[in-house]
Amino acid sequence: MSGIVIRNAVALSILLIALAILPHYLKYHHQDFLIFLVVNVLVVVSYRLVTLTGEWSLIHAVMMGVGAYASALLSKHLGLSFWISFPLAGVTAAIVAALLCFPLFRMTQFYFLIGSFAAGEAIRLSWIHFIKPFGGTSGISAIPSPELLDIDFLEPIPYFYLVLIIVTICLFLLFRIEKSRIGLTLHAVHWKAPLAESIGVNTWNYRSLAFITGSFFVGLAGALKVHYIGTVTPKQFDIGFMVFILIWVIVGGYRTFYGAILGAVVLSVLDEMFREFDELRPAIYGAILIFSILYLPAGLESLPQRLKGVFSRKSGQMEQT
Amino acid sequence: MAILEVQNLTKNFGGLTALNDVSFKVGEGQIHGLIGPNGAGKSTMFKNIAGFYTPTRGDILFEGKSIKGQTPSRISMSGIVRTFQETTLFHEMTVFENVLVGTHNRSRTNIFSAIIGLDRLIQQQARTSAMKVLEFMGLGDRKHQLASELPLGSQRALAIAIALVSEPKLMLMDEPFAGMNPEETRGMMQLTRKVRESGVTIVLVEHDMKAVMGLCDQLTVLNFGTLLAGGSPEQVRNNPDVINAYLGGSHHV
Ligand SMILES: Nc1ncnc2c1ncn2[C@@H]1O[C@H](COP(=O)(O)OP(=O)(O)OP(=O)(O)O)[C@@H](O)[C@H]1O
Ligand SMILES: [Mg+2]
Repeated sequence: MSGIVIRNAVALSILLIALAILPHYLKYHHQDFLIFLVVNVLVVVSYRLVTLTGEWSLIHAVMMGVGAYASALLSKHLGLSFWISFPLAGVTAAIVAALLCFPLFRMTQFYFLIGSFAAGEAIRLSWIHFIKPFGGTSGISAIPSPELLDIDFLEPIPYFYLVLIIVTICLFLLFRIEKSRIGLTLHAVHWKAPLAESIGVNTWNYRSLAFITGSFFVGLAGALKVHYIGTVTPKQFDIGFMVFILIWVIVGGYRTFYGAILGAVVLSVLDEMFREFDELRPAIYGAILIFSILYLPAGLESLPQRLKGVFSRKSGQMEQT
Repeated sequence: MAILEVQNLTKNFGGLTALNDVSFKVGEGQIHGLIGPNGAGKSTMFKNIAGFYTPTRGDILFEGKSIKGQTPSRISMSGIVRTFQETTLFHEMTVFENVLVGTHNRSRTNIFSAIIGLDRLIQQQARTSAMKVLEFMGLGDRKHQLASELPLGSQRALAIAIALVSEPKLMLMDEPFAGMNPEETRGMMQLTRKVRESGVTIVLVEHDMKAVMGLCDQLTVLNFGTLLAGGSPEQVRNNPDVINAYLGGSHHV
């Protein structure tokens, strides 16, 4: 038991150290890419928390935007420092999510999917429509970057470290939640809601809890992203981005914690590699999605198991002959 | 004293009357049988008591207070749990995790203490009581198995363990013996008695007449949604209405 814990801790430390060294060997725009990649990891993992109860929402990207807009407005117009506006971004997204629970969780499954999409579009349209304070389609620009000692957070490498530290902490918290009894109960709500109810689990509360907590973390991710770019627009959080989140989670696999991370990382890196074939990128993405649904329905996370299965079958045949 | 009192309960599904003006009482500490032919309304009665359906008319008193119209989770918190006619488990979880989910009522936690680990003591207690219940139901050495891998008899026992660990006062068991061979049935009967001896009142829906007659202190007989008879197994067995309507004149009781 503890052997596994130590092994995981060692693997994790190596990964973190590698990540910490990595940007020094990258070109400028690849450093940017790395920052967005780490932010997107937080996006998919927080989305997985929402899907644990079995409800797939289409509002996660917009919730990220809620955090982004909140932090941008608070820091730019109220002059709050990033260190205050950043946590408030998460809180704002959580509050908006809590308000949405009342209409949204009266629906389930397909209706929930559509309902969440509609609610998200309503929020996004209000950013476009209310020029004051949201700035319409061009959004808000000149968002101040974080300040700490003399560190220049306009540079990619310091900002990368900031993002890496914050996202690591968030992932740790999300991991704790999933491994706690609350996480177990969320799974229970997913698999057998009536049984869960019969032993006293208020499924409505747990669905809401997952949605609010997931929104909190993705709100943080939104703030992290726009304080680096410096601008926030409604376009950044449209259904197109939501589809990317879905594809990452589906291709990576949503059953385990690391599946979704794997999906986001592998697909983003592929995407970056195919940058030259600009118009072809959606087609490549689509092909990967179809291929993985057909041949890897349990996602990339199941790949080691599948390979093991293939090899043991082969060696089994050899023994027979 | 009656722990559960069903008063003039009627349940309509559109035009269909699944339960029609049914009243009965369940004494504390008893095993109370609820029997009747297929479609008589037994499962519907359970779902009304446990809050999965709202009665059309009538009332349900638990320990003297009305629980009519409350949500299943509320009702379960006040001490009534049901098991399901189709064996219902968290198939994707281990046996131990199944029971751990069942401790939800007794050891609540919130997301902040779960993250920081403030609820460690409560969690420890939850695990201890989960383990105790597993031993009690004879599932101790299967705790790491997936629920879906268990044989039928053990799955039924696990379903009861999940209910039991929430420390109910009243347990509604829907056909726990269905599909069991005689040996499994005997084991299950012993478990049912053990559960009662631990202080839980039981209402039992069951078609296996041997098991019903062997276990129950009192019986309520339903037929086409109406109350046909009630009383001790002895009285019910000799009630001509029951023999005619329910047993269709045969005499294998
Ligand atoms: N949700 C529902 N909607 C409509 N009709 C229903 C519903 N649930 C049950 N019924 C009907 O109510 C009647 C009683 O069903 P119920 O399941 O309570 O019977 P039962 O006594 O449990 O039978 P069995 O011994 O076969 O389990 C049946 O005619 C059934 O078709
Ligand atoms: Mg039934």
